[in-house]
Amino acid sequence: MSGRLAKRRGWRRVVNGVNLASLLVAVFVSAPLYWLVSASLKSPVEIGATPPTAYPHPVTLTNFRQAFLHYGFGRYLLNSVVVSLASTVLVLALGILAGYALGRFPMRGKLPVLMGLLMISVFPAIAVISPLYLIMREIGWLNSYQALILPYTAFNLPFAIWILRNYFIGIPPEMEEVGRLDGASPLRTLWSIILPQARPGIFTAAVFTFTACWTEFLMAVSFNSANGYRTIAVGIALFGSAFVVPYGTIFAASVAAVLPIAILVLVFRRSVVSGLTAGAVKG
Amino acid sequence: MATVKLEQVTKIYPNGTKAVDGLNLEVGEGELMVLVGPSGCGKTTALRMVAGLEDISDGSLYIGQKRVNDMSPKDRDIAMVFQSYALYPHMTVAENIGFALKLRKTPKAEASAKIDQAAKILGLSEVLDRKPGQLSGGQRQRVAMGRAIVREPSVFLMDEPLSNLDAKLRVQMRAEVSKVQRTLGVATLYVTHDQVEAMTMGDRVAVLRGGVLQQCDTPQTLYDRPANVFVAGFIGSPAMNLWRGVLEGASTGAATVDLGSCRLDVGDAAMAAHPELSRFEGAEVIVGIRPEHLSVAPPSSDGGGELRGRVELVEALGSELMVHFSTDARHVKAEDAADDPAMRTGEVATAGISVARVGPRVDVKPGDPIAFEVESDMMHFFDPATGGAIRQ
Ligand SMILES: Nc1ncnc2c1ncn2[C@@H]1O[C@H](COP(=O)(O)OP(=O)(O)OP(=O)(O)O)[C@@H](O)[C@H]1O
Ligand SMILES: [Mg+2]
Repeated sequence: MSGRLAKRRGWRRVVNGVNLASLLVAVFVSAPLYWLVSASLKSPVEIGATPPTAYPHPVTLTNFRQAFLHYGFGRYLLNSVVVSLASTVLVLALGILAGYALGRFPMRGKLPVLMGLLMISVFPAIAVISPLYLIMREIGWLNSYQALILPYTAFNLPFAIWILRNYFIGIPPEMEEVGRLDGASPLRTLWSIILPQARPGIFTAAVFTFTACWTEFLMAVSFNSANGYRTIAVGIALFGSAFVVPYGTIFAASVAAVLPIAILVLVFRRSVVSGLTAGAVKG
Repeated sequence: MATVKLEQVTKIYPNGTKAVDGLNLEVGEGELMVLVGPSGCGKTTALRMVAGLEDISDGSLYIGQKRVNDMSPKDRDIAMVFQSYALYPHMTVAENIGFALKLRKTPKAEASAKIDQAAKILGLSEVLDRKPGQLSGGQRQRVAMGRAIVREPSVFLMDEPLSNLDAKLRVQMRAEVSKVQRTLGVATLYVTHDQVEAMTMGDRVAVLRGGVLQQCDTPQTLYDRPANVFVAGFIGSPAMNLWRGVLEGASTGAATVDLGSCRLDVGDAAMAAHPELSRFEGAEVIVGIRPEHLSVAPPSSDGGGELRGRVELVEALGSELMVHFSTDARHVKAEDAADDPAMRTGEVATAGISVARVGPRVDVKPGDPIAFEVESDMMHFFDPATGGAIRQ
């Protein structure tokens, strides 16, 4: 195919099936995002205008001011950061140890464990909401950080273990042997030799976990509905009152919520892509 | 400095594979011992047992005076070079070389002096700040060596350290590794499947086959007096020609051996060198002649006492010709000799292709009939029943 494309001359090199298709996909994906960002910068009057305007005129930060000052969105942002970060750290710590053990050590019953993990990771969260709610209420954890950190860790761990395990398997076993001969303890080997080589896998697991926690809604709204413990997803959903839907504020808050994820993915995009494709091809 | 001694060392893998079987071997102080043999013969397994990366199923392993069967790898004071080099990809060359020192909490200044010295010996001073990914194959190989020598171990273990290099670099590194080993005078166990590497590098060479030691001696002795058909066929390139023949006239003092329709004289000197040969009067023996001990006979000769055949292929190497020829003698393949029962009974022995190594000016073409004179005291004789050499 590349051969045929290379032969094309002039405008036909630019306008062809492949490029048109990618352009279509790009527009399809980014149009709502554009609409979100541009709307967040419009004045409330302009948002309601019919027909809608293509770009904010004039650009205003009123919505952002409203979200952070009037609705206390900063608090929600902080809650989300705490919950997501703590969950991610826990998932990584446990996932690295479990993934390493499952990938490297000979042990009985490895397959059932891996299958079990896979099944848990596709388990619908809604099915456990009610029992979990009852448990949380019983032990008095409703409206606390740990009410989210613990289930988030549990639900994201299986996928992280899979990603990390696959990554560890791809590292040649001689690495550990050389480490042993060099005199490194098993933990030291893991820390100084294996983990640096597994960095893309770790980033991938981290980004996926963080994003999943950041955007989770169901548990957050069920367990932590008190104003002081709302995460961004819950906060945005509960903006306003029965009579007012402050669209501008919602848009602004959404932009503020998406921004960290966008930055995260942008910074780690290379690592994440290589982490997802690790093991697909040798080398 | 120390010696390594293996006593009846055996390895049986959990799946029942007996990879090494009763291996006895001693590597002297400062000696470079090469472990050679075909693929799957247990070389790596033997080396890994010495390193401590693999449990020893049976037997004893001594490093120095100590029995180290149950000692952990890091306490054995060994350094190993892997075939894949196994460099730490995320560390620079200097960090790779210095990692073991860092783990031992060697003072910084001392460590960096040692790293610099190792780098100087190996010509790596220019690339100390690079990562392994930015090095050539030969440089990576040197880093792997550097990592081993910087620790000043009492034993080096090397598992086919040169097999990832191209042919030219391999020859160069062969000499370099030998030189470094000699300079440091550390007992070394060196694994290869390349018999040329074994012959050129080893103080002594141990030939392994199917986990069993075949012969362990200096390269020259292996070449001159192979202990059995397998060693005879394995050592030397191109390989020794092996045929089945029938010995006649040993008692009359004019011994001959019939190879197909050719009757070769076995001189008195040869008979004297192999007194046990007289036991095989009228019986089959395996006759071995190295390609370099066959010389083209003048065309005028009468055809007696010569090995006759037909030229199949001529390879001109410039300095010499490799003449591949067929005879009606029954050919023996060394690789499947000795423990192949079919071969012992002679059922698979067929007319194979034999090789002679002759001067570059000899005029031969494929299809030509050809006759060779044989230097009779260069003949080797093996017992067809056991594959062992017939000697005293
Ligand atoms: N972990 C293992 N489990 C079971 N059998 C093994 C294992 N490792 C090696 N073997 C078997 O033991 C025998 C010797 O293997 P080894 O790797 O020592 O051979 P080698 O001489 O190094 O061969 P090569 O030249 O191909 O590297 C082989 O038959 C191999 O299949
Ligand atoms: Mg091997």
